[in-house]
Amino acid sequence: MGIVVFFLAAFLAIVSALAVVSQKNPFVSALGLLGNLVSLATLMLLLEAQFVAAAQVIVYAGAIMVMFLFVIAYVGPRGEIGPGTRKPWQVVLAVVAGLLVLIQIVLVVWTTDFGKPASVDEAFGGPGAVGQAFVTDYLLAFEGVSVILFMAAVAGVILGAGPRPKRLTTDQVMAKEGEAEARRRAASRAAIEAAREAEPGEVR
Amino acid sequence: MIEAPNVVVLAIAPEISLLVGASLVLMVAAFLRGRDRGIGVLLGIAAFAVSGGFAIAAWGDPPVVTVAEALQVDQLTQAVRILVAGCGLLTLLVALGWPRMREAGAEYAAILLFAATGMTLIAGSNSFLTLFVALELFSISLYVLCAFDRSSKASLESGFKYLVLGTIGSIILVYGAAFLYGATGSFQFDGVAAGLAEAEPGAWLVALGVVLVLAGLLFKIGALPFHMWVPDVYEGAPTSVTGFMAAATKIAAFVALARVLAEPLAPVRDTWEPVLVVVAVATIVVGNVAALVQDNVKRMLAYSSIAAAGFGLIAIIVGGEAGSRALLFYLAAYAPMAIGAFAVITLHERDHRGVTTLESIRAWGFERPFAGLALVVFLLGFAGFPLTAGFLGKFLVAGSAVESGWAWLAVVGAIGSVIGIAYYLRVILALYDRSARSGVHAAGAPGLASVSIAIALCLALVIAGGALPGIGIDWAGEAARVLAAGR
Repeated sequence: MGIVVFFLAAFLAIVSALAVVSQKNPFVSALGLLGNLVSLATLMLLLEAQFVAAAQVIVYAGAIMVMFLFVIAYVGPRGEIGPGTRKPWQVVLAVVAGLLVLIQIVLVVWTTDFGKPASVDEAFGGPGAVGQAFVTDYLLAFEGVSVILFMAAVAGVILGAGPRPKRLTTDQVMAKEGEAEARRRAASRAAIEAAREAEPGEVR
Repeated sequence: MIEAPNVVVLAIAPEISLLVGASLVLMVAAFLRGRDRGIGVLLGIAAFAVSGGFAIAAWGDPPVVTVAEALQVDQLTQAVRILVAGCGLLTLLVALGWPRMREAGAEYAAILLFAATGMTLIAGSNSFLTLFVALELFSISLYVLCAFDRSSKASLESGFKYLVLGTIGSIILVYGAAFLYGATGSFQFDGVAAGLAEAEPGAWLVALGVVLVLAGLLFKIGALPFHMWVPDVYEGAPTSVTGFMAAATKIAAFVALARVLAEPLAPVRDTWEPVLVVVAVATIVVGNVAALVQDNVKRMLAYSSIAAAGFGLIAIIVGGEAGSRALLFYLAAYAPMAIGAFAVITLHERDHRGVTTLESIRAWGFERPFAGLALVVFLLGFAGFPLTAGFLGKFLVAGSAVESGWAWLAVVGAIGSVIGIAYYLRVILALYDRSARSGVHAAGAPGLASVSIAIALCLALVIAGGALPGIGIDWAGEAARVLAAGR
C-alpha cells in the first residue's frame, strides 16, 4: 500500500513540477505548484512527519498559494511570458545548472550508505513532539525566528507605508475655499466688465 | 512534563538589552506622531551602550554554553558583542546627521538594534541552526536598512539587489548545512566535528556540505566570486548604513566563519584550505584592481572593503592563536576606519547635495579642515600606514602568515596594499587640490555635531590603536584563544 502511494505521489510531484516551469499561463503554473506541494505533503506523511505535512498544506498550499494567486490576479494576463523575453544564454545556463544539481543529487545518493534507518517512537512527527522540540532543544532558533518575524513586520510597515498624506487644518481649508471664492468673483466681474465694454448701450 | 532548557539569563544579557531597546524604541515612536523622532535614535544609543556594558562587565568570565546548547558565550562572543555595540553606537551618531532621521529615526534605530542582535548571536552560535537564524536576522534587517531611503531610487535598488542576492547566499548556506547534517546526523558544532572526524575521507556528502557552507559565509563577507553585490549595495545604501555594513557585518561574518572552520569543520581542513587560498588571492587582486578605476568614492571604498575581506581571509587560513589574534585585531581596527570614512562621506553628501565623486570632493578638504584630515587618516589606515590601527592590523596578519609558512600569501597581501595606496592617494590628492576651488560651501546644519563626534571618536580609536598597540593586541589575543583551543 505504502509503495503504491509513494509512486503515485512521486509521479504527481514530478508532473506538477514540470507544469510549474513549462506552462506559459501563470495561473496554470501556480496551480501546478499547488499540486506539487500537496504531493510533497503526501510524501512527508509517508515519512511519519505528520506535522510537517499538515503545516505544508496549511501554510504553503493554503496561505502562500492564495497570496500568489492574488498577485497574479492583480498583475493580470499581461503577466504571461512571451517567447522573446527569454535570452538564449539564460536557457543554456538554466539547463547546465539544472543538470549540475541533478548530477550532484545522483552522485550523493549513489555514494551514500543509507543502511541505518533512524528508529522513531510513536510520538515522532506529531504536533506534540514538534512543539516540544520548539521550546526545548530548539528554543533559541524558535525565539530567533519570532524576532525575525517581528522585525519583518516592522520593516513591512516602514517600507510599505506611503508618504503620509498632508492633512489640512480647518483654517487652511477655509482659506483655500476663500481663495477659490475670490477667484470666482473676480472672474465674473471681469466677464461683466467685458460685456459692458462690448455693448455699452444695452446693459445700461 | 516538558523540561525547560537551561538558560543563563546573565550570559545573554547583551542580546536581551538590544531586543528590549528595539521594542522600547518602537513603543516610544508610537507616541511621537509627527514629532521629531531623533529621540528614538538617542534611546538606541543607550541600548547599545547598555549591551556593550554588559559584555565588558562579563569580560574574563568563564565560558558558558546556554539555551539548550545553542549558544556559546565565551571571550570571542564577548569581543564581538563589544565591537558590534560600538559600531551600532557610532552608526547611530552618524545617522543623526541625516535629515530623514527626523521622521523615521526611531524605526531606523530599532532595525539597527535587531541587526546587531543577529550579529552578536551568530558570533556565539554553537549549532548550524543558530548560525542560520542569526544570519537571517541580521541579513533581513540589513536589506531593510539599505532600502531605508525610500525617496532614493538607488537606495531601493540597493535593498532589492541585496535581498535577492543575499537570499541566494543564505539558501546556499542552509543547503550545505543540510548536507553536513546528512553526513554527521547533527546540527551541533561538536556533533558535526565528531561526525566529520569519523567520515571517510573524500566523501561527496561531506565535500558538498563543506563547500556550500563556506560559499554561504563567503557571500556575506563579500569575497570572490560572491562579491558582485558589494559595490552596488554599498553605493546605493544610505551612507551611515554602508559604514555599519562595512564594519559590523564583516566582524560578525568573519568571526562566524572563523568559528565554523575552527570548530565543526576543523577535521576537514584539507577540503576547505585550498578553496580559501584561491578565494583569498582572487579577492585581494580583484578588489584592489577594480578599486583603481572607480570615480565614485563610495564605490571605490566598496571595492577596497572587498580587498580588505581578502586580507582577513589570509588570517583565517593561517588560523591558530596567532592567526586568530591577527584576524580579530584587524577586524577591530577596520571597523572605526570604515565607519569614520563613511561618516565623512555623509558630511560631504550633505554639503554637496549629491553623490560623492573624485570630482565633487575636489578641494573640499580646505572647506572642512577637520573632516578632511580625518578622511586622510582613515584612508591611510586602510592603506596600512604606520601609526594607524590599520597598519598594525595588516602587520599582524602578514606576520602570522610568515611565521606559519604562508609567506607567499603575505606577499600577495602586501602587493595588494601597495596597489591600495594608489587609489587612496587619488582621493587624498583630490581632497587637497590647490588648483581647484571647491564648489561646495560648508554650512552648519542640525545633526552636524553628532556626526563630528562620531568622526572624532573613530579618529581617536584609529590613532590609539596604532600608537598604543599593547591593549588592543592583548585583548584580541584573549578572545582568539577560544578559536585556537578549538583546533
